Amino acid sequence: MVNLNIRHELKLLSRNFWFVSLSLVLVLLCLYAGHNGLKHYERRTADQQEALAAQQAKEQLIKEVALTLSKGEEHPNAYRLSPMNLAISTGRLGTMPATQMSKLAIGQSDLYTHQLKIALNEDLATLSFNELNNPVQLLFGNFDLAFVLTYLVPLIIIAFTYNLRTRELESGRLKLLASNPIKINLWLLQRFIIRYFFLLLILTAILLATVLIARTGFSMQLLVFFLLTYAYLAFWFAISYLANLLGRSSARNAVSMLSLWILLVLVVPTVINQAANTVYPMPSRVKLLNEIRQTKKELSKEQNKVLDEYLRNHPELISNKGENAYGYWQGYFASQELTEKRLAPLIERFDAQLAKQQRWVNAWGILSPAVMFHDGATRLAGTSSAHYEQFKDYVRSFSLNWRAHFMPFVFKNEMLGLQELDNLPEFQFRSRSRTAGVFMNISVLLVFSALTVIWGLALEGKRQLI
Amino acid sequence: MVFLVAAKEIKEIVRSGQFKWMLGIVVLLSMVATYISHVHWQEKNRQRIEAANQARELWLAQGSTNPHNAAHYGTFAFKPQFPLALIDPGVEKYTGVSIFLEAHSRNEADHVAAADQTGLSRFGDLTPDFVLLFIVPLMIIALGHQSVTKEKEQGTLKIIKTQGISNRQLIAGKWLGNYLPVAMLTTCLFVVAALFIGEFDWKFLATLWLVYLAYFAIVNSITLVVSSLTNSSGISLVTLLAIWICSCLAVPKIASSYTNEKHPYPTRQEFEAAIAEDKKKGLDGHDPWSEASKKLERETLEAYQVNKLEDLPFNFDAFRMQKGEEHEAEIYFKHNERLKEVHKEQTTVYQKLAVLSPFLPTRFMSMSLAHTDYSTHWHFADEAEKHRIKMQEILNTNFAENSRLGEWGYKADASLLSEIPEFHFEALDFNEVMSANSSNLGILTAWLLASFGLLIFASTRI
Amino acid sequence: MLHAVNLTKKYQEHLALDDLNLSIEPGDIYCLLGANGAGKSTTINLFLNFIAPTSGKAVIDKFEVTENPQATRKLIAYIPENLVLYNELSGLENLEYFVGLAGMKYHQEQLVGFLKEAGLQVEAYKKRVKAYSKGMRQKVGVAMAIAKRAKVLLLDEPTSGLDPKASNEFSELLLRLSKQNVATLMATHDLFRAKETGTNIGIMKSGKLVEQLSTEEINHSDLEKLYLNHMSN
Repeated sequence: MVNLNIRHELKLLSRNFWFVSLSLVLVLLCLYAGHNGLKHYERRTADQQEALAAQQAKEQLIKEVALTLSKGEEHPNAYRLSPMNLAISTGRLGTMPATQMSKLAIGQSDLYTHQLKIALNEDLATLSFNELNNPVQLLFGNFDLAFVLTYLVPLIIIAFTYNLRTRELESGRLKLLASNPIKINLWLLQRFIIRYFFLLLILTAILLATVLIARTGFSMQLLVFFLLTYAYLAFWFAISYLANLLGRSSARNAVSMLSLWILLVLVVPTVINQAANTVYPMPSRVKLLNEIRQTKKELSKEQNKVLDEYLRNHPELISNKGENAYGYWQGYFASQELTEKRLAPLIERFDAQLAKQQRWVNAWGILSPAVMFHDGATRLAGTSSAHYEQFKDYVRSFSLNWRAHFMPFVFKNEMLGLQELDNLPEFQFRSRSRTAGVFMNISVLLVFSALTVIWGLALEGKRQLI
Repeated sequence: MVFLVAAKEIKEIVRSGQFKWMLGIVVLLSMVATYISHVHWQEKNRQRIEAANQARELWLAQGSTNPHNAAHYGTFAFKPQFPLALIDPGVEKYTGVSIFLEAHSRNEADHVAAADQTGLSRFGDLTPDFVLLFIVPLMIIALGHQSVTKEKEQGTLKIIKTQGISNRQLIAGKWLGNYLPVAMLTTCLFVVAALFIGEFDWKFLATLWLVYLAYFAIVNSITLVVSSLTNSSGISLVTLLAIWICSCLAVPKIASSYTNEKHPYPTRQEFEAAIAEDKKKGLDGHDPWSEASKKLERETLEAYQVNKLEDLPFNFDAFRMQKGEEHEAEIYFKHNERLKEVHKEQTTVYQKLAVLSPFLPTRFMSMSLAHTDYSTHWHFADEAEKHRIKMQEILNTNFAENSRLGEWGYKADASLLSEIPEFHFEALDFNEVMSANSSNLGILTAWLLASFGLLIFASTRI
Repeated sequence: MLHAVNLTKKYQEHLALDDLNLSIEPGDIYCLLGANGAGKSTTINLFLNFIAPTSGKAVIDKFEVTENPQATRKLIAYIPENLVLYNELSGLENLEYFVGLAGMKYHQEQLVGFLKEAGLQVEAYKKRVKAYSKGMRQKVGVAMAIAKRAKVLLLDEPTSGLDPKASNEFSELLLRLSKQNVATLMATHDLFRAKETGTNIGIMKSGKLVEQLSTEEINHSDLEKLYLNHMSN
């Protein structure tokens, strides 16, 4: 029966004007989405290269100064080797390089910045990671491949499967088919599976073309991305299969499938998001601002005590030049560390709340295959919220390293030399996109599909044929 | 005759189980959306008012202090929440709500709510505008797609035609019959929202209501056009949904990607680096040794015809600080104007693309009327900057007039702090909003007329 | 070959078929007459196991249909009033598909042979079915029955809407099949065809079989009188 059905479906589909033309539309949509992803990637990379080049030029200049001084000569810009100047003006550039896969799913990458100057005097509590952009663009989102696959492909699946059984039923052909010694639900499942594989082949070809045009290298992530796509398609085919078995007419199937699409793709994600915000509300950021200022003010009143306490905690920084060796900056850093310590519980509230929201979203996201797919895709692309959280954490901990590295110089009032320049902490962040978590999403989608199909098969003989 | 047809359509719609379901879902969604928005709105409003009061308290609590210290200590400008944000929060989620006002630098608005949410927030929020922009059109399509095709399929169309009613009357009746229930629902939603909001300018709310009614009229016309031109309900539904997906989902996203490709914003890092570069070239209020400072010194001495800075009738340090402030403000102004240029170019592209989908002009007008659009945000940022400049001027002038050169220990009276007015932001008034939206209004009207034109054409083809 | 034993079908309160007993032997052409809603199609659907009987049983060649639907369907060929095929496929392709579903495999030439046997004109074999007339589609249905080597033919008003020539051709096909020992159950409104083609006639009314007779016992006009008599009571 399988061979027969394959040949049958191939003939039907190839002679179906709508299928052929919609496949062509799908080709165009994917290619355009791929083009957008590529452009986004190129701009992101070019911006980063430019920022890196400017930073390198700055660092090169400092090296030259240091070289001149090391030869015992004088340099008008010698002050640039002072620890404060080096750690603040030169600073370090924190970068988050784009992964090849980010061409496929832009995700959160339009919201956050990917290069960030790290300076000694930066307030970690208020460090902003937001990119400068037109909020309208953020509101509308991007036309990337993830959008085409999440939103549009399910509709194409619905268009080609919503009446596979009901059409037979309505035309009376189902009786003719059922008068043969076959299990009709199994026969229908075969048709669905065959159509699934057809679409899978077509989509794979289109995706490969898109991937080639977007010049995304082949990688484990890409392979998993394909698997995730296949699992997502399988879900929609399975749901449509069940709808065909339960529905009595094509028109009602169409309406119920489309309602389901709206529910699963549009409504459920917004409801989950809204619920996460309501159950775990974010504390007020604007209130935090005032709390920070208040803390700072309190500390500034007891500046001397602050410095004493700080030095008690960092005896290695005590210089033996006498009591008045410490000036403005020493006091500044002493109170900065104390401020951070006092504010830490407040800041952690935000992180903790966001983590709770994320857990909520991960748990309830199971209700929507679109969330499962989109989450998996952005995770593979390195553009998920989690990646930006990693980046933020890395930047914060690097900032602390950077500060710790300079503190001895600041407190001992020492200039940096050529050798010290080579020993500065390097910023090296690479987003890790682990595929393991995505397999969870894939399995959820597949389990749902399998259960749906089993339910459908169990209905064999229980659904009316006339 | 038209009303007879309309009455029959309404009867049919109201009696269908489908309508009851849909009505239930839409009412439920909009009620939940309005309620949740209301709760969030109130919470945010409370937070902002509290924070603004606290910021003012902290500012005044400095007491007697050096004016420039106070300038560095700074304060915050908070963007107020507008009442209609309850219906359409627009881009609020993606723009900051507070700007730190301090000496020497213009800060960007910070604390973008979207950054404090999970990636799921990009799917959108369950707010009244979501229901109005996405769900109600779907309801119109679901109710109206078979309005004509069903009569064709059942053969009743032929009977109706033999009764002597003209096609145009028939279509007009069907249009009304399909539109009235939706219009009533929309009106109810607005009334409920108005009750929740309490205090608002009715002109904005009424216009918002009319904009949505126009949007639904367009969708309704398109629905009937497609229903008239197709022969089966199935094809009509599929075609209409394809149109819906294109207009409401694909076109906005394509517009966003295309606009960003055509007129990209600089990155924050680029933007800040360019400002830093320009600042370095000019007058730094804290740096008396720079060339620009020396030049200012010469010119001031010449203007007052004295030989020494000490002989000037004011504190030159403070005067230089003010000049530096003015110079830096110019740099910020220049760079922000450039950014605004990009923003305007982008807006023009969006407006051109609005020809592709009635969703876009509606979306933009809705945000604009609710004061939650990007222009309002720019307006806020500009006002905050004006406030900052004024604040610096008052502080520096006090410093210059009441102290002598080198007197960094000078402390002004605590009353100086209350001389700095509280930041108060007024959004554009109704006429200004409407004139800023003339293009959107024009396109929306054009859509309305074109869809009616199409409907008249379609009525000749049934 | 085909037996109904106390076969009853009830829809809620409505009795669609009331205690039907009949048997049809190989070579028989049993014609069921009766008004719309008399239970003719219900009887056929019960033999096809499309619906389940409320009580009683339908038996095809010793198999009870509800217990052995797959085994009985191997024996059956079914032609409904309006035989809908896949419009985008040719007659030949349709035949190939449906016969394939029945588990039979034939060469192209054999399939062409069946179509020829069913009387379809040669030019039509490779044309898409959407251009076929109703009679042509019915012929494809007969070709399916031939190819399937069906022992039982279940026909639900197969000749309604056919022109007299097509109708006549169809009757001749039936006669040819019955000579190959096929048992046929045909629901029809056409008294004339029933008398001409059938071997037995059953008249149904409100779910009951009210009359059974052999076509040899009666002439045309008496049959009509008998039928109208039953209907008017």
